[in-house]
Amino acid sequence: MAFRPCLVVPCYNHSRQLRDTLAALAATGLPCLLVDDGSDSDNARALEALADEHDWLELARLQRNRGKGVAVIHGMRLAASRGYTHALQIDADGQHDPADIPALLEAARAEPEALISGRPRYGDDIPRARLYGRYLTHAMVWLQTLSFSIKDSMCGFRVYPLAPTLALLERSRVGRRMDFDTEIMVRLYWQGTPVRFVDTRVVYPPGGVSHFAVLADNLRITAMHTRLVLGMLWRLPRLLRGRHDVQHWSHQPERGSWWALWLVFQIYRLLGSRVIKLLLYPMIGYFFLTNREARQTSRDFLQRVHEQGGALPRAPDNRLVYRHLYSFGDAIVDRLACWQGRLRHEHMRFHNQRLLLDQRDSGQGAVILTSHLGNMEMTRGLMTDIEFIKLNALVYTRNAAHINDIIRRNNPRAGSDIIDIAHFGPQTALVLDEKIRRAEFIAIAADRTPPGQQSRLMPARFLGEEALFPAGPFIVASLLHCPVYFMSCIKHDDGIYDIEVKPFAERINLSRARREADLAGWIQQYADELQQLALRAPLQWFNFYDFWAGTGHEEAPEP
Amino acid sequence: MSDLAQEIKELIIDCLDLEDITPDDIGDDDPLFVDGLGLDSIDALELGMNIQKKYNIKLDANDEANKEHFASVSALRRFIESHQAG
Repeated sequence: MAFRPCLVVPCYNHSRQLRDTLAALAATGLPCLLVDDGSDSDNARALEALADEHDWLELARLQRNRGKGVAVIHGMRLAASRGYTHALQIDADGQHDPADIPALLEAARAEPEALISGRPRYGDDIPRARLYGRYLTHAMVWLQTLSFSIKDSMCGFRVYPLAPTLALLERSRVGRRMDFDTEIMVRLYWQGTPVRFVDTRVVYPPGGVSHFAVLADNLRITAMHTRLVLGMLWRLPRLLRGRHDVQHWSHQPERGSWWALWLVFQIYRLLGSRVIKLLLYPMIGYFFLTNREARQTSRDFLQRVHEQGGALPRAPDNRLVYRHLYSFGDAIVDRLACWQGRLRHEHMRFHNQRLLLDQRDSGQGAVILTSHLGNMEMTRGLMTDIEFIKLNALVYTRNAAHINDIIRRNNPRAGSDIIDIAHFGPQTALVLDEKIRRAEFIAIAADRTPPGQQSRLMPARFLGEEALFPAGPFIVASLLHCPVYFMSCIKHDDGIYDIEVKPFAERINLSRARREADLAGWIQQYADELQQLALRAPLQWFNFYDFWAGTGHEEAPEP
Repeated sequence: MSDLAQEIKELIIDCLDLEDITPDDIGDDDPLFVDGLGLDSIDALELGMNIQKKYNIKLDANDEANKEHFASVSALRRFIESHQAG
């Protein structure tokens, strides 16, 4: 793309401040289109005098005051008709620092199809109310674009690529006054124009005239945000498909059908967990009404817990089933927050962590048996912080690499790996063996049976009836000749996660003569541990399928 | 009998804790799994791990040929030799 920039300066009664700004603009060596937005006669005459003084300055006049947006659009059309490809917009009142012009132009030259915008670093002189107003606007824009790539939408110090901008203006109605700067940026972003930012200093000169009429402009801005939010909902599928250069974990193939949760998570990021947990109520209500299988399996499970004397407030009814599903949604939000690195020490109590630290210090790692009761995922963030315990999770997934990627991107210090064991073989065993010898830990959930026929399942008694458990985790543990622990991560009533670890076996030996019996014994011991947990925290059982039916369910949803 | 075959037999006995069996009890062409020595899939993993470690060979879990490589002591010997030659 060719790059022939010019300056566009909208001006309304700012002739006095403009005189100073022009001196700095002259230094850029660029031609300048000055658009007089219907200034009063004194100012208009002053502007004409300025234009006569400077041959690089071209003055265009709107007969009456039409608003900043109209003036900028007028200037951009004029610029395009003069053969320019890019317009650098700078305000006349001196709040933008002309010293930053070369940086903006450089960015535009490097990426001519992008909109380049200054991102203000305010001096101490910004009025408070205006700062809060800006913050609210940021929040709205984040929501409208479902992305944080727009870092500032109100700064009028920009380089517009003229062709895509004018094409957009042909098609859509864009606010013409104080709402212009924000709306045009959001709409350009929707259109697929990349938006880039360059830090710049913004000053509020004492005695400066700002044309921000508080009530009228705030109403306009509110109307604009309403238009944009509706536009966002309309474009939601496309925004989520990630045609844009949004860097976010949800823009990964497996995000699939849970975009709604992702939206919830965005709101969570903006408004905090209290709001989001309120929003969860209707969402889970919807889930409750539409997902018969989850409802039934929950009720069946709770009934078994009830019969075994588990910690339930009453016999299972719809309200309890709803609470069960709600805790699933709650766990999802917590997990997302954890991936973001937002939940840390203060949200967790790690009981007897000494066990793992001592194990690590012995120079040999261990296998840690876990389950889908509670939210093991939460330990991931924590392990990084705790003196470098390295936890690897074994899962049956083809997406292991993706998930690792997502976690890393959000939390570069995440010290754990997900290892795919969908195709377990000697090579995988060797990789794990290596990790154990480096004093790392390997977590395996031993409650869900893996998909496929070839895996080995064995029955064990669980909550009063036999259910099938996978033998794989115990075979892996036996191959690694290392100690085995049992670990759980359960959310307490106070909202804090209790991580508990206890020794499971010094070694898992599967003697040649009694291999089946040995395996059955270890699996029953695991089932007993799991049952204890289930009775203690039944609402955090996240296996929403018929656990006793004996078919493979590793791919059931999890928080 | 080659030294390598002898070494493999010792490795098998050693890593699988095959008590009451000496290298001489294992014929070079006896099937290792099911019939013959009667090893199972857990043994196969254990043996695979140890062979990889000792001879620095990579075994792909999806490789159908693994079954043939591990069929007998002589098959294993040929497999290891082919890797060491390369």
